[in-house]
Amino acid sequence: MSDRICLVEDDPAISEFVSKKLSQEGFEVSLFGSADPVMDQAPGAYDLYILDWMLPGKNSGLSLCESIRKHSPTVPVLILSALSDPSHRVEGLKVGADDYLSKPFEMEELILRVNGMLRRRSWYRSLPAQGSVFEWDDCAIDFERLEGRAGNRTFQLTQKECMLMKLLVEKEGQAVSRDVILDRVWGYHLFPSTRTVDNFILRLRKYFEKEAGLPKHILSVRGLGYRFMR
Amino acid sequence: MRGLNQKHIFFLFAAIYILVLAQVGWWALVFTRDADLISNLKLQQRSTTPQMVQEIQAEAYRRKLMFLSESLFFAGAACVGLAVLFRALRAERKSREVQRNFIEIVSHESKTPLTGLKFRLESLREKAADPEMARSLTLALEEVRRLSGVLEKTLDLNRSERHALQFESLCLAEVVQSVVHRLEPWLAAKKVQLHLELDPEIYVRGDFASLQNSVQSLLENAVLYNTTEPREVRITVLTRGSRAVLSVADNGPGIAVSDQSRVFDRFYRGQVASSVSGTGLGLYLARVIIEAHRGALRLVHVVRGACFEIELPRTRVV
Repeated sequence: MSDRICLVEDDPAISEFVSKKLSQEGFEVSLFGSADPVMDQAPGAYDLYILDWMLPGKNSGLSLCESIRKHSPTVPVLILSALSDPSHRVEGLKVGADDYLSKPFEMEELILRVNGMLRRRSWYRSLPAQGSVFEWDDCAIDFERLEGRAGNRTFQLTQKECMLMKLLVEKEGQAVSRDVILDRVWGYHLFPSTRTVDNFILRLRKYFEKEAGLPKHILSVRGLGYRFMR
Repeated sequence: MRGLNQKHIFFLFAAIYILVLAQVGWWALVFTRDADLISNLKLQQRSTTPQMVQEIQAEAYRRKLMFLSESLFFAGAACVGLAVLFRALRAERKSREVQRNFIEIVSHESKTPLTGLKFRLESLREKAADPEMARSLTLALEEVRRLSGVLEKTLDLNRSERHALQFESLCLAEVVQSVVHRLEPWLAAKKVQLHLELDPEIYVRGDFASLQNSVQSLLENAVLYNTTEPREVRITVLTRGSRAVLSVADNGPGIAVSDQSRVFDRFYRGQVASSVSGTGLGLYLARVIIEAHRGALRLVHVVRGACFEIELPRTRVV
């Protein structure tokens, strides 16, 4: 069965072309000129969303993205926008978009990004052998519910944090380079530098390590990347 | 006044105002004391009648009055002058802000129709059976690409002038790699032999998108103005003391001596302008951006071809 894509774009020249090209690639595309009708649709209706930021009607692409995130934390969302400032990009990613493409863009790039997002989603959905919950020491992580536990403390994790943990857990005991992490978790160099990976690791250590400064499970491999040890 | 916001300017003017008032107050105090001193000396030196004492005291009073009124006049004049200057400066900043907002809105608003136009042209080119028509549409698409470039450069310039750059620690080699990745199809079409020598351990504090655009301008120029076959471009990232140095060198004809002093001028296109399409903004903008990073962009003298060098303060690798 082909993947279903919801494309919300009010400019007919763009939406017709993008929709035609995605259909040629084998996707099932539903086209909308505003965010309002998509707001009322059931969660899980699509495998991926492509949303223009500025749309006519009550809701913008950003508010639609927020609403999608509330119901489906893992469905990929890509924002298309004429706003190309890094601050706009950050704003888009903050509301939960997985990727951001500024206009004018190349159709080949959009298709590559869509395929990458679906590939990463499919990898994330394939749960580790032990099931959706992985436990070590007095910690646990639920990859399906995006939840973490350290001692008696439970907390919510973002999808990217869970993806990063899943990658490290899958390669337990092996060093995983920053480049591999960027490629598997982010796909594109959406964030500018491999420093992003380091920041995410720091956050994960704060969640799961007893002493974030002296990690025992999420370890640094100097000059390469990181390694997970149970 | 570059780099100062409204609050900074207000405090600067307030400080100058206080200094002027203090200075004038000090003068008034010193001169009135002098007036007293002079009158006391006069009274001590001569044998005085009550009428003379009255005259000396009246003269001292007049002197004091004169010094005080002069001080007040100077203080008032200085305040009025400062206020007029402050208002003019504020009005000028406001009008520049309006201008920048206008440029930003127009540039952003143009992007959606431009994307629509690009896709319509691509659709037509796919359907075009006539090779002449297909060639015309390819040229039209090239013009759209150029226009997009101008819009991006305008927005970049606007951002750097607004001090809206977002600084963070970033790997210079990654900036180069992302530009190469972005231009890969274009570089392949132009049959460019690209040599990269990038030290991955060099970090700088910078705005990723702006640095990307600066490096892209240098790389595009190294290709577009290079008539040598095959075109070769060498990009290196290395350190020089505490500085990070990124250089882009080509094997082309180089830059004419008469153009060298003006290559960074806004809208300056040089002697080969007629053979290559461009805006004359690329190098100017790249230099503005690099200087906003406390760095330098310069043309380096080489035996063959052209070589541009970006020098930036290096940050510690964590």
